[in-house]
Amino acid sequence: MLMVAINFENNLSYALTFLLATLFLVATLHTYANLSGLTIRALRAQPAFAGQQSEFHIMVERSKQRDHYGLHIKWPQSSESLANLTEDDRVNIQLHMAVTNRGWFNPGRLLIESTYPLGLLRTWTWIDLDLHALVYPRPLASAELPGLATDTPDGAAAMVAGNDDFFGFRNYQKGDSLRQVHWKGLAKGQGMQTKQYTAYADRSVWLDWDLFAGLGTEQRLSQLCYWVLEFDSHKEEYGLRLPGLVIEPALGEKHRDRVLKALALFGKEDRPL
Amino acid sequence: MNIQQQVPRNALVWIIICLFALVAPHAARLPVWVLAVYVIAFIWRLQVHRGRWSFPGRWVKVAMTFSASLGIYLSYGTLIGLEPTVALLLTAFALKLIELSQRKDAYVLLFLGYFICVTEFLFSQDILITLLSVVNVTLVTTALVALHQPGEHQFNRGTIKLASTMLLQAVPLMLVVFFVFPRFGPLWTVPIKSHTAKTGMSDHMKPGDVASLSQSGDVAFRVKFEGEIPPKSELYWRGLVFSRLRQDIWSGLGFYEVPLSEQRPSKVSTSGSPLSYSIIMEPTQQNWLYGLHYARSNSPGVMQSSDFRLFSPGPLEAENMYSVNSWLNASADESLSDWRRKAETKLPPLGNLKTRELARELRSGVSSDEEFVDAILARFNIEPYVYTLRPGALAGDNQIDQFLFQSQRGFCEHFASAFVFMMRSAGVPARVVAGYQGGEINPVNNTVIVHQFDAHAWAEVWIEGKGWVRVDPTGAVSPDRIEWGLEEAMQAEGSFLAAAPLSALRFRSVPLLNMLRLRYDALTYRWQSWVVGFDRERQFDLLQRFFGGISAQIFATILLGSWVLVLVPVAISLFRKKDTHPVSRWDKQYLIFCGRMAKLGLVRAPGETPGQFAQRAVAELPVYAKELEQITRQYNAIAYAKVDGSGGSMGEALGRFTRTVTRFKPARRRGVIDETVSS
Amino acid sequence: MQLQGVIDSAVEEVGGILLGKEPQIRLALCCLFARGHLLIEDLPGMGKTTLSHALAAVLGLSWKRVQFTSDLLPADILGVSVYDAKDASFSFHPGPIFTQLLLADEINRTTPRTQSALLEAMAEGQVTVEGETRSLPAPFFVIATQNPVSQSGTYPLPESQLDRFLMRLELGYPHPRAERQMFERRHSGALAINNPQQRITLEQLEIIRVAVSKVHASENLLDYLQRLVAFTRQSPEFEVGLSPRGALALLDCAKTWAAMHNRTHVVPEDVQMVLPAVASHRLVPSGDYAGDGNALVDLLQRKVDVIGS
Repeated sequence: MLMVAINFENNLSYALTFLLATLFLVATLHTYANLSGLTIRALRAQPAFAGQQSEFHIMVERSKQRDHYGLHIKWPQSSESLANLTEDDRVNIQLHMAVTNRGWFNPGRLLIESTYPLGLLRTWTWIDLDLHALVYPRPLASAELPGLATDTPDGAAAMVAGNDDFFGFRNYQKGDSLRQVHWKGLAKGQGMQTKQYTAYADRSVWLDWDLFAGLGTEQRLSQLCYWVLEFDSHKEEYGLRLPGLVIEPALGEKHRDRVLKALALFGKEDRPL
Repeated sequence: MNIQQQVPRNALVWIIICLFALVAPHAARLPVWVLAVYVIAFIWRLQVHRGRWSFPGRWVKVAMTFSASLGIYLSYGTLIGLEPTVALLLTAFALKLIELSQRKDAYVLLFLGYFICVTEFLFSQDILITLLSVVNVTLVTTALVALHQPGEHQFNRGTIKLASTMLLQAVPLMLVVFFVFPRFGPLWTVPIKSHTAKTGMSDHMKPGDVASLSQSGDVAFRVKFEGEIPPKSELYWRGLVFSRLRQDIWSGLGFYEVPLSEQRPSKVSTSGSPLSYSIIMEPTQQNWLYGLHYARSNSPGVMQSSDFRLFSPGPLEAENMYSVNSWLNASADESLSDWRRKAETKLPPLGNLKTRELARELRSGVSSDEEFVDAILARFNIEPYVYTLRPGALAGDNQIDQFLFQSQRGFCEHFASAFVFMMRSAGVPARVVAGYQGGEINPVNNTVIVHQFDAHAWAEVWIEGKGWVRVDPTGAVSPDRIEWGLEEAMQAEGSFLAAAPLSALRFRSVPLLNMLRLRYDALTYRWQSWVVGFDRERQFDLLQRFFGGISAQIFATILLGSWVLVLVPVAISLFRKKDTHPVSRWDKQYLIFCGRMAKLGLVRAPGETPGQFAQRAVAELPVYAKELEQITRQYNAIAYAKVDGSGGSMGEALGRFTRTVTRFKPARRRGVIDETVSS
Repeated sequence: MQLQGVIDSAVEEVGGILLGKEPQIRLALCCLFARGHLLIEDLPGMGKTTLSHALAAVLGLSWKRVQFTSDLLPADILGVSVYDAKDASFSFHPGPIFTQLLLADEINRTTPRTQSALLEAMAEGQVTVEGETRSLPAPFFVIATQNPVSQSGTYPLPESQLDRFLMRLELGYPHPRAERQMFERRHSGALAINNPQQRITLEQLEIIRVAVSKVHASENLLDYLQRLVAFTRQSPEFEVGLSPRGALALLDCAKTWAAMHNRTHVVPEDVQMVLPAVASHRLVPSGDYAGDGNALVDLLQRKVDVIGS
């Protein structure tokens, strides 16, 4: 265009050419402004099993000053999300990213970039978010639980620790909770007996670290993880015993998450720095 | 397809708007079929959008491109030249719309759009065209912005706001660059406008030519005198000199017909201060320039011919500004070379015998050439000759005879032509001069506007000892024409601008309209002299005036300085933290109060209501119990109660509250500190 | 008529029985004035039933009490059609729900089926038995009590149903001084339960309702409400924020509270006063957050700015 202006000695062409050139300059500010005033908030990260994709929830909030368009948000290895902030003051976006190792996973620095308004310039920023996904061990199927920690002869009413109805006594076995030992009976000389309670569930199971003797730590955790999922899907109560940690048998989502979290963080820092 | 690469619907609408806005100023110059291509492209793209039709295939695209080029070739007869190039560009622009599907297509389309805006200026730099182009640039920018608003599926008029804001912010910088950017000459020759009609005087004249030119109300040029404007009867704008008559057609001497020794104008002795003025000519596609008798110009690209005309080496394709010095009383060619005497007395060997007879008869009755001139003028005056815009067509041979002895109706060229013919018949050197006479004085800015209807032809006669003397035979027939102009001269006939019933010039009798027209004309003059006429010399003058010359350093300083001056405020306005929520006036006052309290170490917690805060504050600062209670009560009344407790309107209550807050200037007195410390 | 005097006397009347619980009594009245159902939650023996009885008496409403047990069926509450051999037709025997004030004791003891039958009736003000819809008397209040969920053998009300209660109150242990007074009273052999008298008539209830409807909520106040609601929906501590119904409940209660205190406009204090009772049972903390609903309300009160800025 400058060539046209020079060769035709046309002043208005000069003017227009310069206008576009300076527009480019002004656009740098506007491009930058498209990212300014944004607040990025880490909402939560969906726990995932190692090797799967974790879902990260992020909220982008704007200042009231202007609309923001075409924000590309992603981690270097994650899926990408495109957000506009026009009518709503905030949007929630989900990014997916593969997680590999058990424990707390930090996705690293988040990249936010945009080429709005003219597309000629790109502005970007890296953000460190305090967002960590809990990565459960990779579930490893094993054909059978090598010796259930229960000894239910008929499976009709499982003996479970719980606050439900008292059922009867049985001989104390190693591993029974001391709280459930029938101390009065022991005092009367009836020997070590354990109080038994029935639960509404049919069976309940102790998933014990020692069940998988001979395997490496990760493998044990993986197999435990598999069985947690198995029992959870069959709506059977289960408890967890790890070295230094006991989770009483129970059922339900919260319980499952608790157990899985224990597996995920076994031998690891609870909160990464 | 990636959403990022899609063209949002909002952008598509803006692009289509751009398309038609961009072609609009070009429309009159384009073949009709190009406009049809636009409509087809629009319909096609619309149908694609609605899912009815599909995008064109590759071969369809090739075929369309080829036929468009062929069409241009057939319409213009060539593909080279400015008009065919622009037409091709515009056709490609429309065709590109059809295949617009991805963002990169849109980039091509929009940058083409900017380019089309530029090409428009090659044809016209008129104010209106400029305004239209500003609109177009805004539209293209808007479309570009809309392109980067993914997911915007509704047409969004708000997009134009950002585009205009950005352009407005860019304008000051643009002006700076515009004024300081060095102007080079053309780097290579560029396609010229071969297809634009030539306007104004043509290079030859036959009876009726000037009369038909006088039907136009277009502006030929505008003149700004440095001093007083001379009387209208003195304003004879010489443009062409016709020295050769052939088959009743007057024309100038060709370049090669003049021997080398005669090509330089003879020296003219000038005395006294000249009349200085500058002229801005509208583009004519011809190369002659206009000036008053004896004109000399220092402007670049203005040359002088041996018959004292001004001319430009190339055709005037754009508005052209030059300044002239004229000496109205200078005598040109005090002595006449033999060659020129011969050339200026030459007549066709045959024809118009009665006129020759009459001339010889009149010459023999007087003693000098000057008396001979008077005799002819007297004859024009006495005989019933009619000055008219509708002289009736003359046909066949001996047209001067026909005019002089039969029709006796003529326009200026008839009289001038007959006069010169008679002069030459008697052996007196004479020639026809064509140009404009008079002009309209615009009281708004004191310019003289010369219109096409001021076109005129007169004669120059060489008189021994005086050189070339201007003789206007028309003045002998119709003195009004010279004194007042064509409109007055034609009042009886009512033929003034008969072909242009809506021309603004016809409404000169309506004061308001006339004023508007003159104001607009003044604006045009200013626009042309400042923007269009800005060239290397003016730039140099300007920079000289403000910065005392220009060097690379100054250039860089100006650029950087202006960027800082403009970009910093823009950046501040963009990045200044605005209040996220508009704070009401009472909240503002209350926050001022809170600020004062905070200085005393009493910070209101976010969840603390004014009442709770006041309680806490009173416990800390019992001295101010009354004021604290008052402020809190008044604030609560304004912020939460529908009706202010003490009566009166909201405004009054607010005023009272503001005063209370302003008066409240707590200071933690020593005693108070001791009190709190001890407690 | 001095509204506040009437209310004060009612509070005093109930307070004579339930010592040292004036704020809760006021909130309970506020809930009933706002035509909402009340849930009282606390450990056994804290005076839940006492409070609900006293409220019924003070308002002079016809009331019935149903002890919810695990074998209670919906028909036991709603009523049942019985075949009358004499008339050879079915006649409807209305259940205890056909009363102005229903005391639902230990609502979490019964099965979800019975719970939802009651809650449906609460929401719609009518019951449908065997295809026939019968409207409940007006006004119709439910005061439900429940033991905290941690007690065994209970069916905790799901969050969606908790939303149907305008307020949830916790009584808590009495103030030592009040407890001491209680002991002394028992010791002196004074009649512990002297039946409370009616202090508010139905007409006065209507007058209060009109007064509430005239209470003005300014832009500033609505802004504050909106900030509160927005905070519950944005902050990571909240799994479930306030629903629009919850937000409206907050406004209604704040207006009623303002009217009860003889004001024609709502001030932020009103909102803050009713906030724990209105919001605590509607908010669910997110998994990572250690606190419960009350802690969330506390967070709301502290973090959300009363004055827009």
